[in-house]
Amino acid sequence: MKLLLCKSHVFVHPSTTASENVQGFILVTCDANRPLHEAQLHWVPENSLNQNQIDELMRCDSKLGMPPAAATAASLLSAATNLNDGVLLDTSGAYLSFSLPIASLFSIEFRPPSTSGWWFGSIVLHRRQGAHGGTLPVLFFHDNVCPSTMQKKRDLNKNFDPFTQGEMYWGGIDLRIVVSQIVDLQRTAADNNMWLVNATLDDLRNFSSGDLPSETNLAAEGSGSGSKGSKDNAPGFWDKLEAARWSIMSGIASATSKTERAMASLVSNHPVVKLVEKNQDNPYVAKLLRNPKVQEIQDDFDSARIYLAKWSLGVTEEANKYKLDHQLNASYRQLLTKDLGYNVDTDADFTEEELNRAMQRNFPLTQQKWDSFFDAQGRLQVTVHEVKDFIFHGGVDSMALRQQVWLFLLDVYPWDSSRDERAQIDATLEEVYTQHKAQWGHRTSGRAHSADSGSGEDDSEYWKDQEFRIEKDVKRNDRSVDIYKYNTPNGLAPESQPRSAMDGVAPKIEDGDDDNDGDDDDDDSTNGHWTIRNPHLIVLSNILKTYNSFSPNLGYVQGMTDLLSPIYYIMRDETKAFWCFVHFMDRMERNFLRDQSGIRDQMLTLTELCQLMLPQLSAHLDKCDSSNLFFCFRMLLVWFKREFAFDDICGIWEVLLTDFYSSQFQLFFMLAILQKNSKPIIENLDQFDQVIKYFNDLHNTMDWRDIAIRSELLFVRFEKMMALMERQEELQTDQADQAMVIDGDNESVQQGTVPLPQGKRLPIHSPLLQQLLSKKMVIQREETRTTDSVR
Amino acid sequence: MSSRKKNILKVIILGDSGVGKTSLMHRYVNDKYSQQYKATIGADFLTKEVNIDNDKVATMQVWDTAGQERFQSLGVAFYRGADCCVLVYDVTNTKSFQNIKSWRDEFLVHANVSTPETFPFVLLGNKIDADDSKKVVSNKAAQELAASLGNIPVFFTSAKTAINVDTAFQEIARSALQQNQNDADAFEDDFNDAINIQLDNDTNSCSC
Repeated sequence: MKLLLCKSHVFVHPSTTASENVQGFILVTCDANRPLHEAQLHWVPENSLNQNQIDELMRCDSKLGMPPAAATAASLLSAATNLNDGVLLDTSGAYLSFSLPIASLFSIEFRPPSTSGWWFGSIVLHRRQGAHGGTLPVLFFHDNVCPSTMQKKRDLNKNFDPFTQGEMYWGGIDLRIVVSQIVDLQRTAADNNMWLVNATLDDLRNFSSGDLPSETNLAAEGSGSGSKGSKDNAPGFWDKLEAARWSIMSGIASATSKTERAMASLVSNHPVVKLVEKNQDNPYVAKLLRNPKVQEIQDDFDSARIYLAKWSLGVTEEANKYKLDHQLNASYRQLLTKDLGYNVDTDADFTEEELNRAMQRNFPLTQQKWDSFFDAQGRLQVTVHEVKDFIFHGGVDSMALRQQVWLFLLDVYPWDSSRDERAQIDATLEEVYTQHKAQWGHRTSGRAHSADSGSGEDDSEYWKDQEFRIEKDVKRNDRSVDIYKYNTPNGLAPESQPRSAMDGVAPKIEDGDDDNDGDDDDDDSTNGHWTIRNPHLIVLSNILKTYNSFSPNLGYVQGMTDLLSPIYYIMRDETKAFWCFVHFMDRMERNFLRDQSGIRDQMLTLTELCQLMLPQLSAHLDKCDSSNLFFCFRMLLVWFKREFAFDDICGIWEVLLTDFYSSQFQLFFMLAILQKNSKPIIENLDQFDQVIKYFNDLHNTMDWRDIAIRSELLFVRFEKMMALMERQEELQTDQADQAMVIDGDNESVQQGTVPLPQGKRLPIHSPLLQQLLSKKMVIQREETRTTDSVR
Repeated sequence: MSSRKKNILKVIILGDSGVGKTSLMHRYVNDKYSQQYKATIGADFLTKEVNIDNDKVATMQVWDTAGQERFQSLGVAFYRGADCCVLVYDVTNTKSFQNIKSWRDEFLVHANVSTPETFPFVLLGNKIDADDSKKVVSNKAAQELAASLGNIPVFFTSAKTAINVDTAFQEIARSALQQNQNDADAFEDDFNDAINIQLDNDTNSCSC
């Protein structure tokens, strides 16, 4: 049994009389053979221990009682000591003592001590609904007599930093540090002391009052509160929570009723917001455009317009950031409703719930949470939908966790597989990959004719050309990303190379220009005629060459390097990255077809979607000869890879990979980008080339989370509009039928509804738009390659 | 709007992937070079003010394109209104040289130019900074090809070391300007023709 945390002088106060207080230890333990997320929490009374045991635990208190704030699961495990099981056995029946798996808790309330020292800090544990056992005693941390807490306090005072506005330290914090590495611990916004353990997304949503629920929401909750079973377990908790919520609500209510003006002026007086307010009708842009100097530039060439378009977007972006930063959710919400909800029948307006769900993106999937999803066999014990809900709305917390999650997201591992089954899959995939890899290795080494895909001179030339192309593209892909940066045998900067490794490196070329970017500090010799030494680039090249022969009809096409590079970055394993890539390509193959039909379909879908959802922009793009949406080509082809930073791309792709709303959610993401940029485009751009330039230069100008929120709301609106149209059409068909029956007194027919234009195809009849409502992956395969196929 | 399209010269760069189209464009427009331009997806352009023969000032729009063949079919939209087409091959890559003719044909099919016979092309053999041992396309072969394509100008360039890039683009600008004016003249002639057609019909326009 490993002991992860030991804290002494933790008391239970069975009555209000101090003399009846029971002194004890809080312990966190983990079975040496079990995963960390199954760790247990114990409270043992000192009076049930013998002196040796007490001495032992006191030693542990000073050793394990003050974990650093930056502790990780690994650091806790390595610091852990072995605990004699006797301690727990001896105390198991003792008065008030308890042991329970931390994951069985629903929440923990960490109540800090009063600053004056009037009362002790304490924790209240709430069991999950349905968990056995009675109410757990409140545990009080007597900080002033606990050696580890005293010591940590002294240390913290020594390093007192007035600029960290962290919370006050007390004994409970140490428990929280440890517990937060074992389970996913999320603070609720409604009650700052309340932390939820491995909370479901629904709980997280309910407990975060960062958004302002409407009255209807509150009413619904009031009537439905009986269904929350945990209420019986811990009535105090629920009452308190409800009270807290109501006080927040009434606070806001009174603020808005009494000082609506004052609040509004508070917001609108912020300089950035002011700027944007003015920018709404774009007088700044207009004024600048009237300025003779600008006019002159504009006459010369209208790049100034593109600049101004960007500038005005930048200002808006700033203002939105400000709003987000300052939790002015209400105004962001208004902005979203205004931006996305206009010009629609009231039926298609957003509900509070829809807005909340889209805007609430603060709960990423953490390692602890992920672990809690699986049972002892490593089989998922929650629904796939719930996991995807987390990923879609909050993303995956770290690159390390992505390494596990993406294997599921990309269907390499079935969601319902067990740990053993996955080990089996790993072995098979390893074997099959090695076989496929050997195939092209074989071909390149001279014996050219592979039996399965035709033979002859042309064919061997095809393979040669393809491999040449792969190397060329690998050499110039994402070279600013750390692992791909240096062409050295260990991928590290040349300065840190051992002498021997430097010998083969070609001398740095002289550039001849003074304003070198500074980003080409590569050791590469002339014009791409250099050998790849960086181990990660070698793997990229291996995977692509293997894919090229694994998928003989499609083969390697430019852009695939962009798709592979983040996947390998996450997986860091050749075999796994290969299979992730293969599965990703199932979905992406349609982007690369010889006849471009797949990407064309998407652009057509987007055009229809844009006409339906953003009619003003659509009409304007028409005027700019840009209605073919060619400027979206790059973004769709490689899923926005060139427009966002590498880290952001991982976040965006995992949202798209969930198929949470639609298997073609990339089109809604694209639509959101169009929507976000529509105002500056409509106001400033009027030519095909300006539009292309504008979009080609979007790199690093957008906050992807904002775009993600907008995409979700756009989808919600789209779905509603489709449903609305369907209903309306049914209604009219019914009426038309009735009209047929009644025939004669046709005056009364068709009252109330507008007749559908005859012969005009409604958006609901568009198969492309209908397909957007499906979560089933769209697969389009390349046709058989022949010697004269386009390359 | 208003005063657009005065003297904008539109130049399209075509050629196999990796021959250095993006690098040439950046070298010419920004006088910069990087090993790390990613493979171009879709199309992009840069603009530069040019002074032709110390006489005329114009804005040149240099369009860079994706090199892989299959991406051309969607990208033809931006061929429209081109004033000059630059064909680029890599002197260390025979294949890229062999494909020059098909790039030219591809362009003529899609660009819908008024007079294909006289439309200006310029041939660039890039990467001449490479080791002689790596060079596989001779200057002679290039000159013969240029002659067979209608005596088009040919330049041997290095985007990396800036050899001949400015000279080549001077010529490109000159050709583009010429073409641009021809087109404008042709347009005007057409226009005049339309007006004068009933008065007389002996005007015939081709100032080349």
